[in-house]
Amino acid sequence: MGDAVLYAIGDLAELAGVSRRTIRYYVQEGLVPAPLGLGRGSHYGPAHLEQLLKVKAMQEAGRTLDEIKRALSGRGGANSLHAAESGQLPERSVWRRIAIAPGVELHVSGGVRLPSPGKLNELAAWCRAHFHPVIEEEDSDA
Amino acid sequence: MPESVAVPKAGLFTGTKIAVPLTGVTVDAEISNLCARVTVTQRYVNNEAKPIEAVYVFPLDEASAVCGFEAIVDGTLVVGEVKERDEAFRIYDEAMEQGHGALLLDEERPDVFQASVGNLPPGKEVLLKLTYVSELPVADGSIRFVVPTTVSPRYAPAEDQKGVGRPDSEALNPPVAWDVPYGLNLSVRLAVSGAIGRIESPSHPIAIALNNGEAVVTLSQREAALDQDFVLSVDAPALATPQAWIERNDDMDDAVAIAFAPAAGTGATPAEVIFLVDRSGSMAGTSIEEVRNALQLCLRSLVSGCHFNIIGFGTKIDMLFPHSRLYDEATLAAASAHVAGMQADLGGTEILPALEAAFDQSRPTSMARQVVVVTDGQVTNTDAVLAFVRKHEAYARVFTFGIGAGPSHHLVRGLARAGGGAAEFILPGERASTKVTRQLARVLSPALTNVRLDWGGLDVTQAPSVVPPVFGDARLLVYGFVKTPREDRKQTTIRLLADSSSGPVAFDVRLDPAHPDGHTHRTVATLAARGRIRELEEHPDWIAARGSRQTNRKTNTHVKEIVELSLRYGLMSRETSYVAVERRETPVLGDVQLRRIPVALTRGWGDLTQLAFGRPFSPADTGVIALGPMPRAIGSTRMPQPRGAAKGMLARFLGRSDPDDSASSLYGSRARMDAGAPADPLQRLIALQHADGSWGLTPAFAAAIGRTLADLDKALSGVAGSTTAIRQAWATALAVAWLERNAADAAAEWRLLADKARRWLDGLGTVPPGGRSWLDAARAELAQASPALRTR
Repeated sequence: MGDAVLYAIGDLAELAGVSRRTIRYYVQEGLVPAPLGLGRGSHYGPAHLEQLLKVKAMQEAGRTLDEIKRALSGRGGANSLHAAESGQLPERSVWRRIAIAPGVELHVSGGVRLPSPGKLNELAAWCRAHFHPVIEEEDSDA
Repeated sequence: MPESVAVPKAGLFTGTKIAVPLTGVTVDAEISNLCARVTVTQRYVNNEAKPIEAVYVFPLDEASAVCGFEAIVDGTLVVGEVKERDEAFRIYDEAMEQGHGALLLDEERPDVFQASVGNLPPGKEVLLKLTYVSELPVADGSIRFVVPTTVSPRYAPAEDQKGVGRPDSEALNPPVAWDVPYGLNLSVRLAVSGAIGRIESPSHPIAIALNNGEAVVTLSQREAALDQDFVLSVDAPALATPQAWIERNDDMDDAVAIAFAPAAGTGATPAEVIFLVDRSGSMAGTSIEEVRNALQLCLRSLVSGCHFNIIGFGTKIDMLFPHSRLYDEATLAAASAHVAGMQADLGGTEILPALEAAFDQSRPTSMARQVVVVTDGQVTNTDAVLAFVRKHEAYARVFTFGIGAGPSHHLVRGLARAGGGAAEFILPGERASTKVTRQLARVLSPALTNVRLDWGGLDVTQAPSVVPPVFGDARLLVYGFVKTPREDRKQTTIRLLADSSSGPVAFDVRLDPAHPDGHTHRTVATLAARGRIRELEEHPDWIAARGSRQTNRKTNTHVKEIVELSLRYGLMSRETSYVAVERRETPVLGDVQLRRIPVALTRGWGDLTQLAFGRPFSPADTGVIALGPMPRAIGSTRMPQPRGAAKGMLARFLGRSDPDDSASSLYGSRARMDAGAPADPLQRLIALQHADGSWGLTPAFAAAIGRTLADLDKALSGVAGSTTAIRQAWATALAVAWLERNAADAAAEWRLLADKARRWLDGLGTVPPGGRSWLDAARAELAQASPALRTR
């Protein structure tokens, strides 16, 4: 990673599927590094996104902040997450989940780099447009 | 600029030189017949060299409708606006990013709020003002006005420590300090119509100034510590009469408020009563003592035919009986001994499993199940608890006692609302017996149910749409938005209809639309909107939607209605926040330091003062109690080392792991504080009453009423019949006569007990010598023997 892809906080929130509050909170808690730069020009890079998704996935897996902090402070870096007494965490746990319809989600691996935040939304919008009629038909059949 | 900016004083720091930007809190309130209108002003000063973001978590009355938010920044007024919660944060965050000043007010719970003062430059001051209106509970013609001052540490069950983002366990538990360098100033103006009787504060010394029939209450001391609720109780008999208000609003619907004084039936009916007693660590000290006293009185106020049980809860559950047992001499004795030895020794406040246990108990009979919850309510999972009770409201009615200097009013009142019961609060040192008796009378009396309104031809959207059950002594307020055009409104009668134990009943209030009331600032409309929002926020559908945190939340109809009402009436809710931006010509860009304001530990909380120090707080004890990782609140300054015992206890209470676990030994070694024999003769006499309502003629009884046994025996010479029965009848009559004679001013406390005793006497076949009734004979005996005891 470490290319020139930079995100404003709003884009980062959308990409990671978390609220702006959550990002600020993670940064305050030292779970995600502070943005690059100050004030209006501050921005986040792919490393921020990856870490953000990692913490989010651990919270989704039911781990408390204390546990996550302990896991992260272990040896630093991504590997310590798996090393630290967490047998339950699957090998690749970093996925974005986008709700398409009730009971239907689009999953995108954290490892997949999409060209821009907008693209993912386009994809989700396309899915919603094409999935809805299918589901409704099935409902009406039943 | 205040002097303190140039030379930072010790007063602006905790004892360990950690800057606290909050310098004081001022509360100005006005109490009218309808409600209280309160302005809270918080003053923040940045005495540091860098810009800061100050974050303060504080409590407000759970009934409060926050309807105004503004700030004076460096002499300039900045007015806040209500926005959807996420949108408000975006505005706040962007303003900070761009170097402007920003202010945000979030509602974390109906009784816990968070103020954020963003990007405050060095040397600058902000006065943050928020305004709320709040309905006042009125019982027995007395108003109770409460200003909560601190957020007590709240126990977080495992599920509240999880979830994406900031978990509830963090949001509701600000850093706690032994002592904080900011205090409270307070002034309450009483603008109530009719005569005002007694004005008193069971919590603080107060000064009262009277002027043209209006009273202004202030604190006697210049500044009070923010470590216990301020409570003001005012006797205002006029509030016990029905009243109606109609308010004209030019930019929104006209609103109406109706105060009913319905009379529900009295008289005790046997029921199954389950006492659910919080015995978590936070209840240690004065709280558990209050609980023991209250329970002893509760036990003796039950009537024959009742079934009962006592369930203590914490992380574990401790039941007196496996299931409810019939109330008799043996079970009363067992319960009384159980209560006398009761300790706050059961760990964290797992209230949800305890409620489940109470609701799930097998039923001994088909009689109504009444659950009486005694707690300080300091938990984070209030939403889940209220949802559970509401879902199971058909199984039991729930009554609550809020105990301690800083109980969660939202949980204690919310539980009673959800369970169709009523709430009472008992402050440390406050005489509890009146409240206990009043509450038990409600528990054993049938409420008015199926309560609904006939608006007398007026087209009204009622709030709340469903009226809760009504008990005999409380004022009931119902609001509405009036849809009928002004020109079509006529004088009318609003009728409250309900089912009582003896059939349908109705109560009327006249409403004259030609005479709008004197309230301004859209007070009635605000209260009406708040009533509706609360109903939505306590609905299981909203709580389920909150839990899901999915994108489809926004399509939830409850969420939509809450947001819509909040925006229209400029009101805060769980879905909306207040935000204000101070635009700066020269942006302040820099590394903004986060400062979480520590809150004072609630006085007497968990008996921690005595446990940790064996002496009361003093300024020397100042310092922040650290929980787990050091609070990032106070920047890079090194935090004081936490005191082992206190830290362990707090960490355990809050449900966090604590490696030293030093608290267990504290619990283990704690000396038992048995209540022993009460010093008060009234309490002593009450403690001797049998389950059937009678007293025995014993030396202890004679001592309790200030006589000797031989003396009392004399009157019985020559009476025919069973000696035991006669001795019991004589003692019972003497007890009732003694209560009437010597404790008339506390009659509310012993009314139920005396009723029970009289019923027992009425069922007797024997009469004393002279053919009078036992009671008359006893009255004569006391009058003759001890005229000196007569009280006025």
